[in-house]
Amino acid sequence: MTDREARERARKLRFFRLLGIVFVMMIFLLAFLRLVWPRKAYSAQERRTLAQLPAMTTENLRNGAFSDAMEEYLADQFPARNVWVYLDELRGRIMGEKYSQGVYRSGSSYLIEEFKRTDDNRAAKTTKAVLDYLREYPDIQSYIMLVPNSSWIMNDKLPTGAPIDSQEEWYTMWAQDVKNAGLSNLTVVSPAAALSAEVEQGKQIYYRTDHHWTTFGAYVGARELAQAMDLPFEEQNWKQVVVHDRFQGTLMSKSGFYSRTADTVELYLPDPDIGIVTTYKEQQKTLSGLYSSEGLTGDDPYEVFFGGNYPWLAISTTSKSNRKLLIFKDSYANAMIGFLCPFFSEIHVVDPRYYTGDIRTLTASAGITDICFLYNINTYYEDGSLSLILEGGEADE
Amino acid sequence: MNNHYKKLMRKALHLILGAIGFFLFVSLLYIFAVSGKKPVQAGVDIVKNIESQNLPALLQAIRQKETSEVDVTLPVEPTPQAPTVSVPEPTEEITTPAETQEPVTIPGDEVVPTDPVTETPTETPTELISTEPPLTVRQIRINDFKDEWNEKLDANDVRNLTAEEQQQIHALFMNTIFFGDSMTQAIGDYGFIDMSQVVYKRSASLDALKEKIPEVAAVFPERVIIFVGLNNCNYYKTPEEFADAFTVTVQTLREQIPGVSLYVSSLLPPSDVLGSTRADLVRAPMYDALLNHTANLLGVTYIDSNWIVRQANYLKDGIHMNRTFYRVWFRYLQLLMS
Repeated sequence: MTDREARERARKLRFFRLLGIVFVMMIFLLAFLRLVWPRKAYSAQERRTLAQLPAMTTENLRNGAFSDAMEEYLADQFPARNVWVYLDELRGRIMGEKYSQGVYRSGSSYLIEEFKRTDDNRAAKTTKAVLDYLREYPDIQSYIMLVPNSSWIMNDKLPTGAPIDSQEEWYTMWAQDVKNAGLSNLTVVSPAAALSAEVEQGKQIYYRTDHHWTTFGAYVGARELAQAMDLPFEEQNWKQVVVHDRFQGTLMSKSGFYSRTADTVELYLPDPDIGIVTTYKEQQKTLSGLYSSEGLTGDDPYEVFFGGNYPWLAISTTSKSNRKLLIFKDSYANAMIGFLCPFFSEIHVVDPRYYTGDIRTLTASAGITDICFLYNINTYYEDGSLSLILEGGEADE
Repeated sequence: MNNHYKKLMRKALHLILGAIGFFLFVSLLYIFAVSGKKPVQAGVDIVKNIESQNLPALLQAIRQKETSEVDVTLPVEPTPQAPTVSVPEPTEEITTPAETQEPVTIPGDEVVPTDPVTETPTETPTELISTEPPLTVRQIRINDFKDEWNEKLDANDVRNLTAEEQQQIHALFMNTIFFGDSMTQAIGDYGFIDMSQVVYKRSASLDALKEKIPEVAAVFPERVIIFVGLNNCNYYKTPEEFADAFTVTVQTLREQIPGVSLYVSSLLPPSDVLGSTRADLVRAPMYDALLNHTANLLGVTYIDSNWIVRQANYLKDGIHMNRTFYRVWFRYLQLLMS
């Protein structure tokens, strides 16, 4: 008996010793790894800059800023951070988690961004600014197209009972408001029905892991818009080119939901070819075409369109048309502008999030014949910059 | 006991190795699942192909189409067109005329100094737009304009640009780059033109401005309007050196921006107060006269703006101009170019 007890005890003792040793070694191992692990400035996965070692001063020691910064630094520079994040994601998947950072994971490998009606007033203010601005230009034909996000069009892919607000509901109300304003020169273009129809046909409108629409989605949108603009869109042929077949987008980095199903990014090039030149006004650069190989090979391949978002682009084309278009837009439009190029001799593209100039001077001086507001609903609803530039300040001088 | 610890250590080692192994396994899984997001090479090639299209040719096609369409509203800008074609040739020839002129201008160098500042306006108009076959209607209009604005300048009654004028100016210079030193910077600073249309370097001579030419070329503007100031009188010992530098600037601009129309505004004199203390700056009218001459030889449109100068419109430094000057200057440009 005693012999067995003694053996048992010795075994236990061994186990606890081992436990202690492993524990201590793990701590040292991690500490050691931390010391030698190379520091990174930027995480391509998460698309954000990572915290760096903070400098210690009496000032930031006293107010606690140092320890906060240190904490962030330690978390951001953890050895093999991406792997741990991935592990956590695996755990989440096993546990059946379907929501993270405003993004839902659907059964069909689609990540869907939520829509929350946090502040209807902000959107109403934007709409009012848009209408007031357009009222000043009764001779210019204007169009507004708000593109539904995947949470509307692919509603059925959402986890059942996901507590999101209905874009459709908000949009219906918004469209009614715009109609009530009674601007005779304004056309509201609603692409929802056309997009839904394509989804039912099994076509891919949105990227699985990115909040943008695919180039095909943009094509459908452009078709709708062109109809309202009275453009001979159907006569135009397009050559489809795949430029990326492993696209994994921002929703993945935002949510940490990794998805192995990568998407393809396509370009639709006008056939026959037309001449297009883009001037990046504030960057003082003129380049041929609309596409950026640097953007394509960078962290966010969606930036193949223009290389990202810029305050003011002036596009001129060899199109014989005498129409000149002014677009207020967010990044959704980037994929769509190419479809409009054959029908306008000039397109001025203003991104209100970055534009600081005087929009009325631009409108009047560029000989604009058509104005288009092109947003996805999420951005239109959330972003206040459009009303800021449209309400405008005094002229510079 | 010793043996016992050895065993224990071995087990611990196994465990740690196991942990590392697991970690490696997960890493591999991760690498397989997440990374490796490479674009399709053929796609990259297509995009690069579009990017590397011949920009000058494209722009020419686009602009030609535009002019042919709107023919009526875009009148002729006679001088710059013809010489632009034979770019490298004239420059060789031109440096020589400038040099042969040396004896003529150098004696003036010492004699002319102070007075002509206020006189120049009456002399220069004849040379100003350098149109050999004078467009009489145009000339009359220009003279009328000058009369009107001379009066307003003297009466100190130069109004701000109206919103409409501002818009016309924006429209007119949509594809123009203003290029120069602080004289040009003021255009943007005062808000007459968006800074995106301005390329400048402060306190720069033409030599120093050379490094900015690629920035101008990056925009591929239709027109470049050069406006430089007294830095050049200080930097170049003689007007001829300045004229040579100007020739090089023009050559470089034309090489880098095929088909560009070039304009140059007068090199303005210093204020009387500053002029009386600075022998170098007071030679400005000679530099300006040779600039005018060289510009004509090169087929660059010289825009005389000496007539707009009033002592009251100098800033305190006696070099730069206030808004009033630029208000008239822009209206004048608008008249000349539309």
